[in-house]
Amino acid sequence: MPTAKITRRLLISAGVAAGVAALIPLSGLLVSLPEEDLAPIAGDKNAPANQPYRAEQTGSLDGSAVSQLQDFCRWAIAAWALPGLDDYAAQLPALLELKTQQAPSYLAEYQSAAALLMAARAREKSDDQAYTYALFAGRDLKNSNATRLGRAERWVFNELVRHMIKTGGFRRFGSQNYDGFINVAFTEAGAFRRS
Amino acid sequence: MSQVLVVGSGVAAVAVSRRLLASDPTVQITLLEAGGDFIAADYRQWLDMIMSGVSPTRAYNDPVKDADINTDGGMQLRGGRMLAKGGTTGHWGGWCPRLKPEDFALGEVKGDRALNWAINYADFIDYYTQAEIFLNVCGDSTLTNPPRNQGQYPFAATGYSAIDGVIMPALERLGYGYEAMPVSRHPEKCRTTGTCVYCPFDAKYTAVSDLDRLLLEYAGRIELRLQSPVLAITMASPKQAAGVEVLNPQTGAKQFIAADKIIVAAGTIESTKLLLASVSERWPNGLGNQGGHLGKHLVTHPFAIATGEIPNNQQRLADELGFPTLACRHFDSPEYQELGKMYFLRYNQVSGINYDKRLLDGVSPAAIDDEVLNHSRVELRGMIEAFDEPGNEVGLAPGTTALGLPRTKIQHREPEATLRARKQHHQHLVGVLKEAGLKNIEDRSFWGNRVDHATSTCRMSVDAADGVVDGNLRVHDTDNLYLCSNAVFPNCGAVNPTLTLVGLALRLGNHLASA
Repeated sequence: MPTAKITRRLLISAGVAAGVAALIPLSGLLVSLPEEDLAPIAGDKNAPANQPYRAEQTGSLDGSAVSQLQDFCRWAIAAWALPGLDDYAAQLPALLELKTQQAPSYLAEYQSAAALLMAARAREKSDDQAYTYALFAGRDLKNSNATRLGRAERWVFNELVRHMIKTGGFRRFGSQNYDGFINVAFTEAGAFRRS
Repeated sequence: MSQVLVVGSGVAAVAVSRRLLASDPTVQITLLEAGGDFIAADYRQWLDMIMSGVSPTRAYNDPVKDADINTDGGMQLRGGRMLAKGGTTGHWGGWCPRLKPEDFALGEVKGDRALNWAINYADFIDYYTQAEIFLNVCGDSTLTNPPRNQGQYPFAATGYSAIDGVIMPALERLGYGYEAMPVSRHPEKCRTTGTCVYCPFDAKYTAVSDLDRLLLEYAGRIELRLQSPVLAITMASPKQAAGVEVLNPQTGAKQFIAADKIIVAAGTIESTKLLLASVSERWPNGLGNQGGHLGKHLVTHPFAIATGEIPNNQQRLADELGFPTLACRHFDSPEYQELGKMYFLRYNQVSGINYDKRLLDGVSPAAIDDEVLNHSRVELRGMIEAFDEPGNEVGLAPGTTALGLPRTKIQHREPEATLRARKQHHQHLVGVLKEAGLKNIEDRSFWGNRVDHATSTCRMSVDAADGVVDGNLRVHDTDNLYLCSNAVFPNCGAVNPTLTLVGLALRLGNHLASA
């Protein structure tokens, strides 16, 4: 079975607690990359690279899948200590609905990613390892669009991280505004820091 | 009713149409757009952009295969213009400085190497004010260079960002001064998201949205036809245009559409190509090409760029607005006209750390903190006035584009004089950064520049032997054919062309309504 290496540095970089990272050998941990995660999404070798899979297929994500993605967001917010996102997971269903109810629909990508997360959490020793696997294990894959893991990273996990940062997580780094953050009119006092 | 055909649907097409419809109740307008539909300010498209990092406008860029470009890196079609309803303002930055009086008289400095405009700044000054109102420009109405003749911006200047304060004292000590960057932003709509390339609130002017309003306001008198590439202008007589030949890309069929007047407003490249493709016994080398100037004199702005790190950035200064707020015109003045002028600003897209990218790259929050504190950069970016160079030109290449238009041929190389100006001005920018105490200064200048600032391939002239259109933008030696694009500028100055283009479009609308 193919493997990927997860190192202490990677876990620490990802913001995982030092106590968890310390459980990883200095040489790193080889995690198995399950065959199903390396297979094409829905077994379809012709999945397009430039748009979500089955982008025309709209609908609502089932509750279990929503819950998996909410848990991922809660973990990322905690792991990176992203401020101001207390309500993010609670509001996530509305975002997912917007992304699945009209084309290009992310429905198939979200379903696949949620299933991948569920399997990783069942397989790995901790949620920290499972989420780290989901975010980083596929990045060295040569053709990430050809695998479930690579597609889940690109179309789901990375996009959610970007959204969390732009929704307010950027404040973790001391900024007041950030590209993609909807603030107030620039004519209002305090909208931005003035020289 | 007078039938007017407008080729193109961008800001020039919309501005001249709006003015003409408002001024002449007998006018009926048909806009012919080669591209397809484009929807501005759609929240879902914006959401996809901020989550994926890919702008929805990118799909409307030029395919690389649509042009043969012979260049040393100095001209790119892709990424500059948008080929869709509403044209390039669909993704523009909305920077709206005026040209200066001396730009209208470059021939006084350059002699045979340049041409004076057929109009001067004083004649045009009121149209600048009208264009600023048209484009919802925020600016400082107290500025006097260039003169404003008491013309007021519709909205007050946006204010300087805190990070501008890193540069301001240096500019004062050096005697360069600074001023607010005039930008097209509606202050009641803008929400400082920083995603101005595709604004979710339509806060910057976009022709695509204005066109939708125009179609509603003047329903019955204006029509828009998408996916209607115009292949040629047909002449009824040597001086009289009869109409245009339009391709149906789906069927390959060609249709003739008659008109009383034709306004070509399809951008510098496509407007030029259309005249070149419109040949007849009287015009064997293209319409308006009796002087041999059609397609020639192609210029655009190269950039001088310098960046430096803010030492010990404890205030965590970074860009907080999605547009530049501080500009300097010290080198955009008559004394630098011989060298080539420069208009520079503190550029707004490099001064922050891309947190989401760094996190996804596996960089720890602590390491990102260190980058913010010790490696945040400030960039000064200058647009350099380039001059005409023989051989830099636009033409027709074999084959057709994805939209059904003739493919583009561009020949463009950086003249020695422009290289010299770019290097000298780069040193000016480095001097500012050093004076500001920045460290690790880098040269990020590049000659490669985009086609959206390209001008002069159908330049205006008093004498038909010197250019393609006259001072009223009428193609020389024709009765009813007009050109409204950056192509008519005899030179490019050192600033963004759109404000001037809109002024010309409004002026043309007035001229046609009063003719």
